Amino acid sequence: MLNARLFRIPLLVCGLLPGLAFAETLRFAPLPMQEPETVMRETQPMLEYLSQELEVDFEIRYATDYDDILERFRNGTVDLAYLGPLPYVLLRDRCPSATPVVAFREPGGEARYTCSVVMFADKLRPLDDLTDQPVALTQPLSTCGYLATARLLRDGGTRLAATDYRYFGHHDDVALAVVRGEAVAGGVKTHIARKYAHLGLDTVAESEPLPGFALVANRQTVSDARLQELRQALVHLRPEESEEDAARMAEWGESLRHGAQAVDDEDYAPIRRLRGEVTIPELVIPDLTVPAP
Amino acid sequence: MIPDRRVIWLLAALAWLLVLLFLYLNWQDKAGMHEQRQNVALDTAYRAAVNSFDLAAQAYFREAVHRAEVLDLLRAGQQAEGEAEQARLRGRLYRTLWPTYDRLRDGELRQLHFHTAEGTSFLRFFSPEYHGDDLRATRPLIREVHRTRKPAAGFETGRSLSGFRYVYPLHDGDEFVGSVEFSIPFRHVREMMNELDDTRQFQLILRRDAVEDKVPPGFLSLYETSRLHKDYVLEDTSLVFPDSPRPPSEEIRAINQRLAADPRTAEAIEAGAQGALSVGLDGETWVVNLLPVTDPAGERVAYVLAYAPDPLTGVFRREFAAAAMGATLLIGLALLLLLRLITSRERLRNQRAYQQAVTNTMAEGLYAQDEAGRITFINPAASEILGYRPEDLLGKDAHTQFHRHAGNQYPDERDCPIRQRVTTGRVFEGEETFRHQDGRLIPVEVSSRPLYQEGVRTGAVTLFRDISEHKRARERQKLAASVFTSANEAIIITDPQSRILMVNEAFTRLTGYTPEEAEGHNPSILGSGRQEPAFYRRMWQDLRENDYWHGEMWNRRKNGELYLQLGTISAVRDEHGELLHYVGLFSDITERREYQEKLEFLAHYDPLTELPNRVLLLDRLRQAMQLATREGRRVCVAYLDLDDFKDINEQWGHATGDRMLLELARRLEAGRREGDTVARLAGDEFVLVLVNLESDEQCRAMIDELLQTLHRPIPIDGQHLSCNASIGVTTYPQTDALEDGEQLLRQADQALYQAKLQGKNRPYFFDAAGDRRLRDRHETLERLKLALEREEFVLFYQPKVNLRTREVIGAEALIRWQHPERGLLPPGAFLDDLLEQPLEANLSRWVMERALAQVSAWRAGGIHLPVSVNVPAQHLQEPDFAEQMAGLLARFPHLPANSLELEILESSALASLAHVSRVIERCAALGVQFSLDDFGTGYSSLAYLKRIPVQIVKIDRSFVGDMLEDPDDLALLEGIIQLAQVFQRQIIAEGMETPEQGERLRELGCEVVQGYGIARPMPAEEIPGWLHRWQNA
Repeated sequence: MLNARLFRIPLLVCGLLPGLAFAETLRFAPLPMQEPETVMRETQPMLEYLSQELEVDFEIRYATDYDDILERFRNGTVDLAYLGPLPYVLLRDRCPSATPVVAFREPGGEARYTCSVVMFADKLRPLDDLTDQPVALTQPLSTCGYLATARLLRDGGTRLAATDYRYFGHHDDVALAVVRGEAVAGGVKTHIARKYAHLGLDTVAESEPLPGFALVANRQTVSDARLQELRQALVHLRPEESEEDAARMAEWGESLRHGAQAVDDEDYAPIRRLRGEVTIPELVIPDLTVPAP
Repeated sequence: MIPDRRVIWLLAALAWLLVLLFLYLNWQDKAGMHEQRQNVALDTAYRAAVNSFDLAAQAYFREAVHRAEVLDLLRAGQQAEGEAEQARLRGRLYRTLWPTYDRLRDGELRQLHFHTAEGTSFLRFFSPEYHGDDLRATRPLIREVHRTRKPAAGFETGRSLSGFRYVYPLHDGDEFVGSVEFSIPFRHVREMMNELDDTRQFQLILRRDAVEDKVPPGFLSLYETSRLHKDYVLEDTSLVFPDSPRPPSEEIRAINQRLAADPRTAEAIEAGAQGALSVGLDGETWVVNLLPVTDPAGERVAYVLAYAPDPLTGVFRREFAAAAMGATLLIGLALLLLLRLITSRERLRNQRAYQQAVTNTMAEGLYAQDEAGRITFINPAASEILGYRPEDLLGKDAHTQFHRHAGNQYPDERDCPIRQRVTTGRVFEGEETFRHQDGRLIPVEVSSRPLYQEGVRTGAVTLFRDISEHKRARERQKLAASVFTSANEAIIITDPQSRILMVNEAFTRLTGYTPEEAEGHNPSILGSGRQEPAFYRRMWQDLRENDYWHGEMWNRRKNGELYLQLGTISAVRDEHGELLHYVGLFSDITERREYQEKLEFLAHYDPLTELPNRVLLLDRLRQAMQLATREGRRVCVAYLDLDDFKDINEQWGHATGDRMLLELARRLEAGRREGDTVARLAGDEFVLVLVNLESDEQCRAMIDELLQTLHRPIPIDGQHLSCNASIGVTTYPQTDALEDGEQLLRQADQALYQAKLQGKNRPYFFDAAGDRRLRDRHETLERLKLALEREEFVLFYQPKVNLRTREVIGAEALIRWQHPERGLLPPGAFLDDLLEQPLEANLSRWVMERALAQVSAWRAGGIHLPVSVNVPAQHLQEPDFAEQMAGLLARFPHLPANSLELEILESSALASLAHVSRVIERCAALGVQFSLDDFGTGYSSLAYLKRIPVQIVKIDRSFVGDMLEDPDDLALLEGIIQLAQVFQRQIIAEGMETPEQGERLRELGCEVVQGYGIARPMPAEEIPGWLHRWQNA
């Protein structure tokens, strides 16, 4: 059983006037793989924006792993979640009410991203020379974790299962573990890899574009109208085209500040294909027919 | 000198305040020291904690960081060409120091941060994804180290958490290659402080603006506003971050809640100084020490708060309270004792002052002497009575100084009767005489007694009082008693209940009651029964309202005789207005009243007949006239006078005459109806006023009856006397308004006069119309008299001319009245009223004088024109007429003879032919001619013409006017002219109005004419002009 820990941060946005509370509150679950400090710093501005636009309050329900998010989605205690593609697909499989609202654009403007295999610049080695070598992975449910890394290593000539792979949790942890030399290679989102490029972290393999991280709504608790409002509020921001939008989103997290694109479930077909090709050994799918302890 | 009670209270209060102040300051001093110790302890713990981390940081720095390998990587990383190389070197540095950092994190140092020599971030171990930002702009501590190249440490608020930073410069040899920074969150400082001092809990509050400047907006929600001050916040009380300090315990929150309510909390925080706050919680005292924390720039950014139970503060307070209570009790006790002492002394002093005041207030003089007779004490009354100042008498011998004894004697001291008594232990009491300082002798009543002190006689005390006023009062009392006794007026003094207290002798004389009979009784014993109850009510009302009553009252003497008294009753009150007595003064005015009534009777009644006199008659008559007017009835006034009563008096004597009058009065009175009045005016004159008559005929009948009554003989002394009476009667109302009864009485009197004139023994009724005519003529005469006085008469002149020679031989002066209201009146309008009146002669004299004055005036103007004037018979017949003419002409001496011609009527001359003839002759001697006016209208007898020596005959205008039409008139005219010519009289024809008439007159032998045919009468000033025109025609 995963060691779930939920932080409830009742704050967030009350429009422009402190103390003003709206009638509706949306419970938001950020990415579980990031440091709470980072989560707060990166998601808070976006939620403030949405609060003003939709005139709703937001409450952050921080989770340390995906299982907890899935569980809460299922029992209706989370309204929105910021999820990677694989967690979404898994959630959708088990919770059909999960509906992608938007997918966030990458710095290049595409609502897609890639996963990379990284190595420290001083210790580069071929991909097929990784057998029994320590390889750092994020989490089993992370798209760029086992799923994408296994595919890239296989393309490079090594089976991931033959390496000494370990899960480090966050993408940053994977990247820094590689820099520190705790692993000779690691699988991370490409833009995370680039974030640590100034520490000598090099990308040695990159996956095909995958659908981006999504804002997922729980249709059990979020109305269609509200869903559309959320989508509209995010999609109409064009930071690449509008200086005003860019200024508005300057404080947003790196993965959020480049805008968003409307998506639907069909857009996540590549993930479903990868899942068909790669089996993640550590992925234990909870039996959702049994009540959670 | 006993201090004022208020001063005592003030001093006690001051002492109490000083003691309390001392105790308070002592308490505060101990508390301050205690607070200071706590502050020092807090400061020490804080510094010790911070320094311990500083030591740890230094150790890490020396052992792990300040190595050649690290310095090389840092320098090379800064100097590397290309980002990839720089990234590789940075990564190597990260990899190299990661174990150190990982170990460092196991301790309390959380952050390891390398900075380039330029001050940019090179590598953050705690957040390696960020680098390259310029730290000098935002980090004063780094700026300071890079400036000084020396290590520095300080508290800073951070992007997420605040804490202490330790920055060390990195030198590679002499080369400065950058700096490295260690940080600890405050949580560890606090934990360290707790290790050093586990008796207290520590808390950090950050200045809000210092936090908001650095914390990303998304993090602000992690900060909770401090309850102690709105400008300060607590870090991450929700413990979002692992390194966040523990939030305040519930206990501390409760303490903060209490402190927040105390305004001193905010003041202490805003003051920025180290301090302590005390607060009670659940019966326990807590102290909260504040330690301000500044950032490297010296600006206060936070407070470290230390919370600890503080039993000592309570101990200090209790000690202070106990000491203050003890001091208060001691001072209160001292004050109580002092006040009791003062009260005791005040009572003694007041007792003495009271005794002194008693002696000072005494109206009697008091002095004390020693055994030698010297005065040892004297009170103000004695000084005042004797006229000395106390110091002038103290030590002096009283006997020598002011004693005078009987008869103003000044015996030897040994013989002083007062001294003789008291020096032998006895009391002296009696009246003596003292001498005033100004020499005046004062009668005094003296009481002198020997003075004993503890059984030994030490002198004497003498009490005396001035009895001058008392003696005078006794004299006045005697005098008053004498007045009371000897007064002529009866005096009664009663008490407020009207019981007689005293009466005087005059009272007894007046009423017959002795004092013993009167005293104790009510004055009502004198009541006569003649006074109505209302009289007494008014009397008592006056007394109640005015304390005074004055008036007359009928009373009854003891013998039952009534008498009238005039008196006053006065209420006597004391100085408070309380009624003491009534004093009545009365005198008997019975005789005076009777005399007055007699006088009043005589004023209105005839004493002989007791009939109303003239005064009462007029009053009754006035009333009768009013009644008649009001009721439409008539009043008759009969004025009765006995005919020839004088003869009876002369023949039978006045006594008999009086008896007749009495009998006649009785008869008149007997015949009087109700409302009628019979009055006797004088002698034999009676007046009857008969009222309520329906007509004058009724009056006549009653008068006739009256005459018969009076005519009946009156038997007196065997004789039967009778007399007749004439009665003048008038009635009221009349056509003309009457002024009053007097006028009615005058009418009756006039009628009486007429009755007498008509033969007596008859009534005559007043002729109102005749009377009115008389009044009118009288008024006219009065007006004419006034006109003469006012010079309202003027003379017009009508020329007389000779038709043949055209010579103007003179002019006739004709009078006119220039009436101020009716205009110019001809003589016919007023001359008839003057006939036979004295005024007629006066007017005649005025005409003569004015005519002569006019002749004189013409003459002065060169015109000689004689003037003729008409002389009325009245004037002509005055005996001195000729003398009057002489006197008149004498006033115009320059006029020639014949300047004045007098025209007289035939009737005037014939009335007194002899006299007139003499007058004409005497006037002729004075050069005054006479003409006979209106000749032909009177007797025109030849005999008369011959006897009247006039020079001129004026033929009346009636003959001239009709002579051309009436042959009779012409024949008469011819006869007259011939007659005049026979008697050699000049002829003048009057009334010639036409030239034909003139021509005919000339043919008849009359050449001189006057009339409208020549000229109308004209004012004097027109005569010269007419003359000029006549002579030039």
